[in-house]
Amino acid sequence: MKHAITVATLLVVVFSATAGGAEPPGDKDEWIRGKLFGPELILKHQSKLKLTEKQRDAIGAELKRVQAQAAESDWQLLTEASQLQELIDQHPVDGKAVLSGVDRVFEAENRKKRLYMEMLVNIKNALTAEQVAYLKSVSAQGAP
Amino acid sequence: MSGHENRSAQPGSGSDELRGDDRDLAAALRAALASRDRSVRSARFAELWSQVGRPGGGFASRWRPAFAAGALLVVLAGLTWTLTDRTGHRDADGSTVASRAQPANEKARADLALARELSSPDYWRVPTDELLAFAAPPLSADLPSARGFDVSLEESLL
Repeated sequence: MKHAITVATLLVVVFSATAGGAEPPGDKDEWIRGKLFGPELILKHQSKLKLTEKQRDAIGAELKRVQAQAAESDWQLLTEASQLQELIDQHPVDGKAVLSGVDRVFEAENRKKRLYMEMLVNIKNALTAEQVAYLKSVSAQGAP
Repeated sequence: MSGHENRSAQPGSGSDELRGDDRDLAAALRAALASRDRSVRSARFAELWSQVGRPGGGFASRWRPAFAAGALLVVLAGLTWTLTDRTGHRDADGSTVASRAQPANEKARADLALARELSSPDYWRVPTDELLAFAAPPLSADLPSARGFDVSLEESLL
């Protein structure tokens, strides 16, 4: 009886873990979907959005700025990550040095993710309320 | 002059003498006119004037199609020159519609490609995104082969 209870508990745990793992990765973005819009979505619907020349120029300039800064962030990230990799590869591992390296990697990653959010916010602010409403409707329909 | 002299000399000779003088004068006038006409040719202008109304005749009528064709050629050449020159001028300035549209299209394409790149999740992936998602290592245990795997009914039930 005790054996059966253990097996049943294990089955429940495994089933829960499997169900959690089956969650589609797109659902993680639900908090951002319909609130911020990627540049590709906007440019694909630019005719229906009736983007003005000024808006197009603003979005284009923002994309170029982000691309340049993202390249810089990538370079810093690559440097920090490769140093961390060397530390982890050692045996025994220097815990303090690894954690310090991890902090630097996280900082570089945060800068890149912050840049992504900054881009989305700046693009949204370049749009009118009507355009944002249209993009929300398009996002709700599951358009890319 | 002899007539006048006769009239002044014989005033009472009658109207026959006067008529004879007039006839002489008229004859002399006709002779003079005939002599002038012989020496000076008849008016050429009158002949030319008469040819104007004649169908198919006349200088202007003969060359009218040639003039029309020439004028048409001149107009066409002028139009061609104007259009060619204008295009070339604007090309040199880089301000023609075509030359303006091309960079605009290229810019739009470049922006769209960049937007696609910056919208990709791979572009924003960072090393620790997968930190907590270690995959389970593949099973390395040796399994018995199906051929030599003889299990009795009793063993399988146990």
